[in-house]
Amino acid sequence: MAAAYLTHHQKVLRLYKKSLRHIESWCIFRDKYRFYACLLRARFDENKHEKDMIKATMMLKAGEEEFWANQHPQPYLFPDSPGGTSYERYECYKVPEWCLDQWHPSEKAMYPDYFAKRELWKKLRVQSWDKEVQQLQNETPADGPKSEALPPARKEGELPPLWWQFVTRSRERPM
Amino acid sequence: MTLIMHSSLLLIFFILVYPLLTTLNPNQQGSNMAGMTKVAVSSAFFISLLPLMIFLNLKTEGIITNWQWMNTQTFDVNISFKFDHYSLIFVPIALYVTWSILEFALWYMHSDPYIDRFFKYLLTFLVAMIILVTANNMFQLFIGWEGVGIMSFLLIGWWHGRADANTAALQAVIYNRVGDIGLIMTMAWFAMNLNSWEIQQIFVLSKNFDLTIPLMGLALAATGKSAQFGLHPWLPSAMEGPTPVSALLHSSTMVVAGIFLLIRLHPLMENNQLALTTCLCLGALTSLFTATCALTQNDIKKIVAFSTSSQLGLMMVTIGLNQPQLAFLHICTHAFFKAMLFLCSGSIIHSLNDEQDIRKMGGLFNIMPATSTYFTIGSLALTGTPFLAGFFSKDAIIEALNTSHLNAWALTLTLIATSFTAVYSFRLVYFVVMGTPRFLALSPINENNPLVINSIKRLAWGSIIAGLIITQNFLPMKTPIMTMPTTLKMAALLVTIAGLLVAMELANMTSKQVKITPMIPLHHFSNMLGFFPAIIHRLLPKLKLTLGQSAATQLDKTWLEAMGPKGLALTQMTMAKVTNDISRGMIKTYLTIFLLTLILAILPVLL
Repeated sequence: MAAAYLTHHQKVLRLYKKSLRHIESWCIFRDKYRFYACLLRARFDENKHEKDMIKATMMLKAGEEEFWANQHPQPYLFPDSPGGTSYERYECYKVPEWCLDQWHPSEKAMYPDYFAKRELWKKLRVQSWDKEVQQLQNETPADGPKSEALPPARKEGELPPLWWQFVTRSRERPM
Repeated sequence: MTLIMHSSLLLIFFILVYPLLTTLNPNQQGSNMAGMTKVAVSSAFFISLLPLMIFLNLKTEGIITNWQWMNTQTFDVNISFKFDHYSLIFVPIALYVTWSILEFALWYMHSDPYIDRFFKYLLTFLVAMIILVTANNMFQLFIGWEGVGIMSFLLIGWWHGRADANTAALQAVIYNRVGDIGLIMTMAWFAMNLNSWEIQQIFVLSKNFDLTIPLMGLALAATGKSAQFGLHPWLPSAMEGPTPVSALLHSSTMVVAGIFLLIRLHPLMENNQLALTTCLCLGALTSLFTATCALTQNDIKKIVAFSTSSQLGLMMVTIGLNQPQLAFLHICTHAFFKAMLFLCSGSIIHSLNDEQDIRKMGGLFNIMPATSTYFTIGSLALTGTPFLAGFFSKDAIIEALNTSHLNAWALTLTLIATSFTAVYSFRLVYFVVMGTPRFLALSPINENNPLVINSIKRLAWGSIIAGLIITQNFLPMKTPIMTMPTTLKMAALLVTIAGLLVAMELANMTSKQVKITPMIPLHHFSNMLGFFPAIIHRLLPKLKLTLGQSAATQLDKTWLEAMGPKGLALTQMTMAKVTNDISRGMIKTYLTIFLLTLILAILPVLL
């Protein structure tokens, strides 16, 4: 599913969701929004059995143009979504995990089992690092990687490449 | 008597600076700086009431010159504080509003790990603002001016992990800098022509000068700091900061610094009609433009920010009418209800889990009755409801505007802006407080905390009675015109009621929603803020980069390099290459040429 191009199905669904969200931005009261949302759904539904792809693509193009003309200049964005009011607000409180190594031993002694477990995790990281690098070198095409997506773990008992930075990332809302 | 006044005023300074000094202590364990700051500000408020009472009773004003700082044979710069009508009333009001905001911030920012640093920044801002307000010379005023600008930068970018917050902080600093050019030009003019930066000396010595240049500089400074049209986009962007910051800086205190500067130096402006007309027209334009932008915004803080900008335009209009005391009255009453509006919105935002869009609020009257009541009171005060705080200042301003025989265009714009005030205030109240809820069901709605309720309650009392108290106790310096036709007298009220009726009709239409989208061009103009930021924020950098590009290619690369050294080097190289190619050891060619030349030379001899 994660190919480089969107299928027609995906494009239609994206247009539908965009249009619904912008209708929600225009129609503030829920009952009116529900009315116009049902009308939009009916408009999409009457053409959903179109078999001719050329006509379907032309209809999609007309739909995108209509969306562009009628979009809301300040669409409603959820606060945590990109462009929202509290997006990235807590980035400045997120501390990287290597700071834990710089704690004073007296502070580390306050959480002995956590730091003992942490030593085991670090050993695991050292062990699996060469295999991760090997897997990445094998799977990257000759003229550089095509996208930022990392491959999953291929063999039984191995860990996916560069797993450490995902496992040790900060919380979404730091304490 | 003056001794009591001076010692209480210096005591206020030390009480406010003490918590800042405790932050210099290396062991910060267990220091309750946030609570200490609130207590410091509240005690400073009560102490500042003493000089106010003395001033009320005996009309004592004072100037303390403390320290001779940089004095040469020709120029003196001292540290001197002026405690006159304006600063003696403003300081208690600023301290009262700050007290409420700090108490609210104890609740709002309690989950923030750096809350002590936040309070330190707010306190530094307050100290800078008081320095600005009590300054008796331009240099001290400039220290306060820059201080509030820098604290504004630090506080807007409080959540510095957020790219938009950093952009907004930079915007605030850059727009304020443009205004600072005007202030520095004015200070330079004063230093050159009047040889003094003390306010008393400036007033006495400037009688025979043509003051257009310094007054235009002051108008530019006020445009930058008080977000008048042309340098206004930083104010709505400044809403990226936490709500206590918006309440303190960008509604009550910092943005009135520009207007305060003009009020302080108003004797200079009295005789210069150009400066007065500039202020009048600029203020009227600002008032209408920002009120238009506020009509279609959907973020609760941005609507209140544009409302602030509109009221600042109104204050500028008052300065243009040669009524500085009315402008000051409006500053004082506006501080109360605007800070209250911001605190109520902060309470609503926190309760709805950081939701700031009014399209997802509604029906809060049943769920948060106290907050929505105070919100409504604040909106009513803003629109100038008779006998609340805003009425005394706003109505007086509109009356003065109506009866002055000045610019009719400015008058029209201001009246339309007043009706727009009613429109967007009603829209705000309608979407936030009335109707049915449109937010998620499991929101942590809570207004039980006494920190929140007491702070907003205090500001509500201020919004209701401040206008009455100030007007009853202080006589106006200029006689207001008392007789005018009934329509002119009722003009403010009539346009406000007209705006309210239009707003109610529009709200009725919205709830019926006949068309899916409203009339697109007008809505777009208002919603995109008149396209001002969209154009200017791209046009100006583009022009500068084009200038840089042409300077780099035409001047640097062509005239300085290609025409001079590099061109010379190229010519030399070409000639050297040609010469080299010729003498490359092509023997046959040389012998052929030698024989040819020989034959050509011998031929005439043979013939």
